[in-house]
Amino acid sequence: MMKNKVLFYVLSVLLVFHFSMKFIYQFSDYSSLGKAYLYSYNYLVPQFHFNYKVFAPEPPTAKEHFVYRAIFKDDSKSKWFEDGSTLLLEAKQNRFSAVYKKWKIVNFLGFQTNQIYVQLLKNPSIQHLRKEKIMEVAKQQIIHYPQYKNACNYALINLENRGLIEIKGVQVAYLRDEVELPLASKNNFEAQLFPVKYLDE
Amino acid sequence: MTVIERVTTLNLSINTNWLLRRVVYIFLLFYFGRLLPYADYFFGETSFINPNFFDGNILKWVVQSFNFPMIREAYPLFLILEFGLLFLGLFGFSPKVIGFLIYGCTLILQQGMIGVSNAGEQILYNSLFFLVLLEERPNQNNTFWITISNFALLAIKIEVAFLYFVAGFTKLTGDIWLAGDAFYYVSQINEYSSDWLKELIQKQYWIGVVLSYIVICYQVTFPFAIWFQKLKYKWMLIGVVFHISIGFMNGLMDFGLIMLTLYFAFYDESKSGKVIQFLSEIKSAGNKIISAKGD
Repeated sequence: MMKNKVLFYVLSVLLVFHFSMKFIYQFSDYSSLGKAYLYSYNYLVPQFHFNYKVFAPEPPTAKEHFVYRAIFKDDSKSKWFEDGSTLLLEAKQNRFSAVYKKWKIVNFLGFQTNQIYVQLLKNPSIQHLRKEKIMEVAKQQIIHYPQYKNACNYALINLENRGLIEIKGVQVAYLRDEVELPLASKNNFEAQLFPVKYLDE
Repeated sequence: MTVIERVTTLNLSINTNWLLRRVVYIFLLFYFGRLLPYADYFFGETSFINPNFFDGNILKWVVQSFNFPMIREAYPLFLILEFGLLFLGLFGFSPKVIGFLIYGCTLILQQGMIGVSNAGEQILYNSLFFLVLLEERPNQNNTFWITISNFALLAIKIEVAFLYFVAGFTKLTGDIWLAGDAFYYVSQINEYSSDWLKELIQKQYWIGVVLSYIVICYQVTFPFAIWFQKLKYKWMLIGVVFHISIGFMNGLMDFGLIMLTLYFAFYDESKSGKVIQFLSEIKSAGNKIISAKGD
């Protein structure tokens, strides 16, 4: 009986510990809890990684598109291509299929690249520069990031699959079209054009 | 009998454990089955999902082994293993060992596509860990395993309640949800909507406001209501309607199905027993039909 009691209390402590770690991981960050957050991170990631916010605190408020185009050897440019809409249409025909996930990957290429770019723009060490200069520095840096390379890689493969030839480089862009509330007058549209990636680089 | 005695000596949920495990394994068969046509896209070397970055912890290297190109190349083997293990699990072969292997294999496959995973998938593999520890043998007298099993089922229930708690209360901290505009926004974005829904909410804005508040109300109350016998099944029934609707209307089918799968953890022993009995009746009827055809 004593053995059972000990086991009961040990498991209770473990349960409380596990969910306390989850609570800290979900509701705090390094700046607010420091080491406690790091402990929770190391305990939970990757085997218990999670983000349970589900459209919170704010739901998505913009239509997002990842687009790409080819730069040809004669310096002309192809039209912009977008795969997301076709994939979404396909996914809507069968809500149980995995096409929705496929769309998510494509969209994520643009989303992630944009996220890195926004972080680079906020780099404290370049904030004293002019706005144009900050953007120039961010664009010089983003080409070294795997997220950008991945997006360009996707663009190149898909441009070649579309039968385009004589390609010298590719350019990717991310568009955000904010949803307007009824009676609202402003419409925010944001297009982020990333640097051209040349194939011989 | 005190609570401690009950939890440490009686397996309070043999039927529920048995049923929950099977339902989760069937869901995983469906989940990985539908990924098969696009498997290379998600798991292959040419996948566009960015690999994670190592931080020097060897355990993480194992879990995230799809970061190594030569292992990623062997993804079909992992898929075959996953399906094989799931079938073994369904037939009840060594539940804990097979359960642990399923947890490991699922985790490795999922980490290969972690960038595009949603809250539903995350709660599923968090629960898979506890699923390993569930005891489903009726003649098990080992109090050690009985106690662990009772705690593991409780952990799965808390996990589900925790998800609703986080999702509900975090919404209360946002401006858009409190203003009642959230459903309108979501309905106007192609990826989370349908043409008819977009149009309906545009014309009847109030429906969006009502639905936004219903979502908040449901998510905030679920973590509390689910522990009361009188409310539990009512909330679960609302949950079925809620998740199926957002599955079809907003496209979040994965998430909905996983939540519904995990609702089985809240089933009472008697209800789980009835479901199992129903399944065994179907099985025996099937056997009779087969033997009649044989004659």
